[in-house]
Amino acid sequence: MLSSTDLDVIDRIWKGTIKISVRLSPLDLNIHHHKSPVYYLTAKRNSFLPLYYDDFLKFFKPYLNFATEQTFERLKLNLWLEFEDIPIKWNYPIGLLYDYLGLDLNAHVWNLKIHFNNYPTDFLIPQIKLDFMEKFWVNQIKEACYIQHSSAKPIMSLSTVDSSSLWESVKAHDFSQFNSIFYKKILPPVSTDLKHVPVKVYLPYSSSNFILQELVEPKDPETNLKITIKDVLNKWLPDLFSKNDPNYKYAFPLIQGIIVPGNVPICELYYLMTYLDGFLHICILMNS
Amino acid sequence: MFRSTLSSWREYLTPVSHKSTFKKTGEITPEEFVEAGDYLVFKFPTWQWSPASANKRKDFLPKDKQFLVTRHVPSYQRASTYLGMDNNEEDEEEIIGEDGWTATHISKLQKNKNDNNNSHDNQSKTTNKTTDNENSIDEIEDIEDIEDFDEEIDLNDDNNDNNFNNSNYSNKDRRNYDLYIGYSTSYKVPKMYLVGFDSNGIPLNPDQMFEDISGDYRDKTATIEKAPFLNDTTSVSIHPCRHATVMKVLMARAEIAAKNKQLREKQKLEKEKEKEEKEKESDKNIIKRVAKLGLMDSDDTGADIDDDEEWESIGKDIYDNQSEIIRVDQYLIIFLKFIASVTPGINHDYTMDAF
Repeated sequence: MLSSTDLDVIDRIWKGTIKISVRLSPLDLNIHHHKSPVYYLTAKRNSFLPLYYDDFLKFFKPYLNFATEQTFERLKLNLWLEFEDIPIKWNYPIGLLYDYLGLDLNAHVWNLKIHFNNYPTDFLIPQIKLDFMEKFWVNQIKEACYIQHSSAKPIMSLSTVDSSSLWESVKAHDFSQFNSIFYKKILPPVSTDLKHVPVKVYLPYSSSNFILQELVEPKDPETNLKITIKDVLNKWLPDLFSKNDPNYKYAFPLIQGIIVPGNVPICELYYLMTYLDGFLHICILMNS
Repeated sequence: MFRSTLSSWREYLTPVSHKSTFKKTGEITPEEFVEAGDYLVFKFPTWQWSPASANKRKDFLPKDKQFLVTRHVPSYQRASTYLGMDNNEEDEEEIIGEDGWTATHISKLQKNKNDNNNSHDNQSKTTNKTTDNENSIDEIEDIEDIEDFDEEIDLNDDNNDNNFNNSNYSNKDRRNYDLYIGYSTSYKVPKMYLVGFDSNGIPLNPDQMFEDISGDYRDKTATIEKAPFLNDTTSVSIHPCRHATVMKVLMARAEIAAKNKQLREKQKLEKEKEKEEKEKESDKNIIKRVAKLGLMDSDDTGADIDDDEEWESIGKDIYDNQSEIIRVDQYLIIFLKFIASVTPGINHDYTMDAF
């Protein structure tokens, strides 16, 4: 049950954006052009990069150096983005990708390079068919639904109209449409009714590229108190987040670009700040 | 043979009805069949629509959607072994093991092993003799080694039968089925056709296919006939005379389960609302008292009232949209659950929980 203040918070989160600039890799640039043209966009944090691929393709196609007989579709399947020599994982929401870098929010334009060749299959999930983003998203949302209910039934019993409408709302970044299905038909009305909260914690400073995902209940079964984000972090990363520490001494959690205070119950946080793939992605960054 | 000709005549002569009665009678119109089929294909793409050749085409169904098909569905066990029943006509001697255990399943496996020259141990999750295939075959064929089987039986009382059957599978036991769902005009329900192939791709004859149908249905409702929408393909079909009644019962059950769940959610919601309203009331009271002190603007009480109204409208929306609990497009999902009970060994159901 979303109150009007909840809706206001969610609305602001959905409006969150990141300034991105995209340049063509010199390997793919037509020799007649000395410098790559730059594509600027204000991307929505709560969205996915592949949803902008069509725009990128339309802009850069005239500047590509190989035979222009390449079809739009083939170019799109070979498209990949890179930041400072690191391939960008297209399956993560944009806000998460940006937070993961720990850059200063206000100062930067995120400078990316776009490639149309040599897709790094060692680092990125291959883009096999044109619906790769949709298929991945469907998988994520089904998993989130299962975590919420211990059953995939709510999402599987959606009518064809509803399930297509849910994907359309993701593509169009339309919260009211997303709300009418995800919040009203999939999420239980009360946040403490969740069987578990779909949470993923990312540790960008870890040497092995860690993602933590364990089961989180909305309430502690013994004390019946709502579990807060501090409780979760203390359980999973006790060295960084000790119970007695009132403030974030060594590290802090960044969700949707916001440093969240420790005493917020995680189930309520989920309803407010879930990304549109159904997960609450939390980045852990170190205090400098 | 005669019966199948009769049923195809009956199909030909019965007029097609277009009135929707699926909840009352469990029957569906052709339009509802297409709708349910679209839903099945959309959510579970292992099922696909298929057109039929011109002479087999029915005009009450769209040209490209004459029947549904799923191909190459595996079947690892025959119905009787799956259900733990010994429905075979052959006599089986009771083999008494050393500890007095009666090994009821050994003889069937014995037969299988003896029939097959090269057996492979491919589903050997529970067996402790997986390392050497040949050894295990030798041991199986030696009746006196029953105490080895005893250990397997002792391992896990609940899953006795399953473990036992899975552990000594031969690849040759595996069959593949193409399943077809057509529409029966005389009974106004979907009708299931099975075409089976053994592990070498050779079509099964009807007697072999009967082995994959559970005993209750085998004698009563399974028929051998040529699939009406295919060219010269012999299939085993499940006679649809009882489908409507069964579907009606299953859908009523599904509806009741869904309604109960909704009721529980509604009650929870109302409890939560009451709690929130009580809290709001106490907040309001505090605000009123504070307002009386002249410390706060009197406008603030107005804001609270607006919150309540918004609260109300969001709550109502949830229930207005869910008046249609079981929709006709879920019909085929429920139908497949029913078919799964008729053909227990065939693993065709990768859909979802029906209710």
